[in-house]
Amino acid sequence: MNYQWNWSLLLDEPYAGWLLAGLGWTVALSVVGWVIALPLGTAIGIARTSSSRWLRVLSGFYVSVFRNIPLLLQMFVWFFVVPELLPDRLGLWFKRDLPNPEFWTAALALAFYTSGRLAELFRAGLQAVPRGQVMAADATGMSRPQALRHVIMPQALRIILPPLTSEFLSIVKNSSLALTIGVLELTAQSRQIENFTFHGFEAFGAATAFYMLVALILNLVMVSLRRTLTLPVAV
Amino acid sequence: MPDLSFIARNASFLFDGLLLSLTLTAAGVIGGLAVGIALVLVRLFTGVVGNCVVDAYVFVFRAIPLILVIFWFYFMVPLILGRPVGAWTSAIVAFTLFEGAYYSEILRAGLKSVRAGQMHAALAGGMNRAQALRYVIFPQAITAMIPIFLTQAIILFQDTSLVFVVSLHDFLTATTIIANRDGRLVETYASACLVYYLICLAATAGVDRLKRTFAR
Amino acid sequence: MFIRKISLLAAIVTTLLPTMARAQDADTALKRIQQTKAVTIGFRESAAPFAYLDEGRQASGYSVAICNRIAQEIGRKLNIPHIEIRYVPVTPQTRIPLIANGTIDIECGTTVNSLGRQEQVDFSYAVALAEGRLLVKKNSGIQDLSDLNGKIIALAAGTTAERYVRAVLDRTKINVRVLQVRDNAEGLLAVNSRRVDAFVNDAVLLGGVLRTAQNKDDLAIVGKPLSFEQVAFMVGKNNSGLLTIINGTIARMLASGDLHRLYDQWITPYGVPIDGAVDALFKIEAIAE
Repeated sequence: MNYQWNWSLLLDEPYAGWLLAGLGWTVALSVVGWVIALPLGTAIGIARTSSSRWLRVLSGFYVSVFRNIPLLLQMFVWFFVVPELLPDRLGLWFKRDLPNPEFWTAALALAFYTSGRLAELFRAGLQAVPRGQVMAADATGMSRPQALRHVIMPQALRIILPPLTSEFLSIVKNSSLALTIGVLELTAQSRQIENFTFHGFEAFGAATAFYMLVALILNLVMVSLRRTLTLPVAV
Repeated sequence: MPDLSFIARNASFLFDGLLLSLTLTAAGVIGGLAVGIALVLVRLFTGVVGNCVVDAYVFVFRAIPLILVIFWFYFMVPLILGRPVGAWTSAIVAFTLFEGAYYSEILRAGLKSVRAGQMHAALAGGMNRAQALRYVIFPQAITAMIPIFLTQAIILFQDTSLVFVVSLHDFLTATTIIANRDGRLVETYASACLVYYLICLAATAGVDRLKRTFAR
Repeated sequence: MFIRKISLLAAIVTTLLPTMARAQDADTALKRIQQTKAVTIGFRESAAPFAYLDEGRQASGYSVAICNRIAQEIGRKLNIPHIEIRYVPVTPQTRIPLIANGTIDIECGTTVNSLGRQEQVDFSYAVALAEGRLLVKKNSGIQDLSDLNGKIIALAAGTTAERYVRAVLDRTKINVRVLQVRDNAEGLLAVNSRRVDAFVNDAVLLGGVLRTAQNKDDLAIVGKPLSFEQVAFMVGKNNSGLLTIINGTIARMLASGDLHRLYDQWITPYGVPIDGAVDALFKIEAIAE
C-alpha cells in the first residue's frame, strides 16, 4: 500500500474537535463512574468484613455478580434489558428523556462493575490491618464505626492506594466499551475519524497517545500521593 | 415461566460460541505466558536497555484499552504486513501481546517474592545464575504464581467477549445475534449472564481451593 | 524517566511504520485468490434481503447469491476447479477498512457507491438502487422528516444515511437527537423499544428488517425518499482484473435474465419491482459480448 502520512489532519476541523470531544466523554464517563463506584465499593467492602452473617452473604453475592459477568454483557443488560423491566414511564425516561441516556447507561454500568472490584480491594485492605489494632481500639472504648473511621480506614487506605490508582486507570480503559452502545468516547471517535478520512494509523495513534497520557498522569499522581501519605514511621 | 424454547433451538450456535470463547481464552493464556516469560527473561539477562524496552512495552499495553489493541491488529496490522490477517488470528495476537504484559508483571512479582537469600545461597553453592533460577527460584515462584495466573485467565475469559467488535462469533456475539433476531432480549441476555456467572464462579471456587492446597 | 522511555518508543514506532508499509502492486486480490484457492467474501449479518445470516447460520441473500456466481466465475478464469468461498462478517463500520487492508476480496452487502468511498475503494456495476426512508411506529403519527423536530432518530454508524440525513437536518434546521446504532437489527430494536422515534435507512433494508419483527403491524416505512443511490459491490483499489470478472459476470447475468430472477426472488417482494429506474439500470448494464 502507498500510505500517505498526514498527521496534521488530526489538527484539522472537525477531527480535532471530535478527538477532544471523545477525550471529554472518556474522562466524564470515568469520573462519574468513579464517583458512584467509590462510596458504593467502600460500603460493600465494609459489609464484607461485617460481623453480621447476612451482610457478609449479601455483599458477597453482590461482588460475585458484578465480578463474574463480562463488563460488555453488563453494559448490554443496562442498555437493552433494564429499561424494559422498569415501569413503563420510568423506562421511557431512562431511554429518552434523560439528557444523554447512552452516557448515563454506560456510566452506571461502569460504576457497578467497578464497585464490585473496589469492594474486594477494600475488603482485602481492611483485613490487612492487624487484628491487634481493632482490639486496641475496642479496648479504648471506641465504637465499631469510630474504630473504622479513626483507626482501621486510615491504615487500610494507605495499603490499597496503589491498587486504587490502577483501578482508576482500569475504569478509564473500560469506558471504551461504551462505544458499543453509541457513546462517542475517545476510541469511538478515533474509529469515526478512520471511517471518514481512512487515516487509521493517525486516528488510532492519537487515541493511543491520549490513553498513554492519562496513564502517565495517573502514574505521577500515584507517586506523589504515596509520598505525602506515607507515615513518618518506617514500615 | 417464560418460554425458553428459542434457546434450545439456538443451542448449537450458543455452544459453538462458548467453545470459541474458551479456545480464545486458552490461546491467550498460552501465548500470553510465552510472551510474559520472554519479557521476564529479557529483564533478567539483558541490561538497562532491555529493562527499558520491557518497561515501555508493559506500560503501553497496560495504558490502552483492549478494544483499541484489537482495532489496531484487525485494521492496521494487515496494512503493515501487506497481507490479510483475519479476525481470528488478529484477536489471538492481540490477546497474546496484551496478556503478555500482564503475565510478565505477575511473573516478575512472583520471582521477587522468593527471597534474595535463596539466590545468594544457590550462587554460593556453586550454581550459575541460570541454574539457580531453574532449580531454586522458579519452582518456588511458580507455586506462588499459579493461582494468580488462573485468576488472570478468568479475567481473560470475560475479556474475550470484546471480539464482539470484530464480528467473531463468540458466546456474547452469538447471544446478541439471537437476541436481536428473535426479539427476546430479556430472556436471552439473562441466560447469557447466568452462563458467564456460573462458569466464572466455578472457576474462581476452583482457584480458591487450589490456593488452600498450596497454603497447606 | 517514563516520559523519556515513551518518547523513545514513539520515535522508534513512527520511523519504522512508514518503511514497513509497502507499495501495493496491482491485482493483489486475484493473486491472493490464486494462492489460497479461496475467495473471501465480506457479507452483512443483518442486511436482509441483500445479505444476512440465515437460521442455519449461512450467509444468504441477493448480494450473496450474485457473489457466489462471481466466485465460480473467478474459479473458472483462474483455473481453480473447486474454488472455496470464505465468508467474513462485516458491519457498516468495518467493511471499508477490511477491503482496504485486504482481509476480504469482495464486499457483498448493500454498500452505496459514493465519491467519498471511491477515494478508498472501487465499486462494481450497481445491482440495485437505494432510497433512504423512515421506519416508525404507526401510532407515532410521523409521516416525514419534517415531523421529527425535537425527536430522536437512529442512524447506522458508517452508512451514507448518516451523512445525507445530517445534511438535510442542517439545511432544514430541524432539531433532532441522533443515536448511532451498529446495524439494522439494532435500529429496529431502538424503534420498537421507543428509544428512538425513527430509524433512517434504505427502504428495502427497512423492509427486510421489518419482516423479522414480531410486531410488523405496528410499524411502517414512511416519508419522501431522502436519497437516490446505487448499491454495488466493493473491491480494493488497483484490482482491475478482479473488477473485470465481477462486472462481466453481472453483465452476463443481466443479459441471460438470471439477475432479474434473483432480483424478483429477493428484492421485488419489498415493493421495488424491476421497472422505471431499476429497469433502465439493468438494460444499460447488460453490456454486450
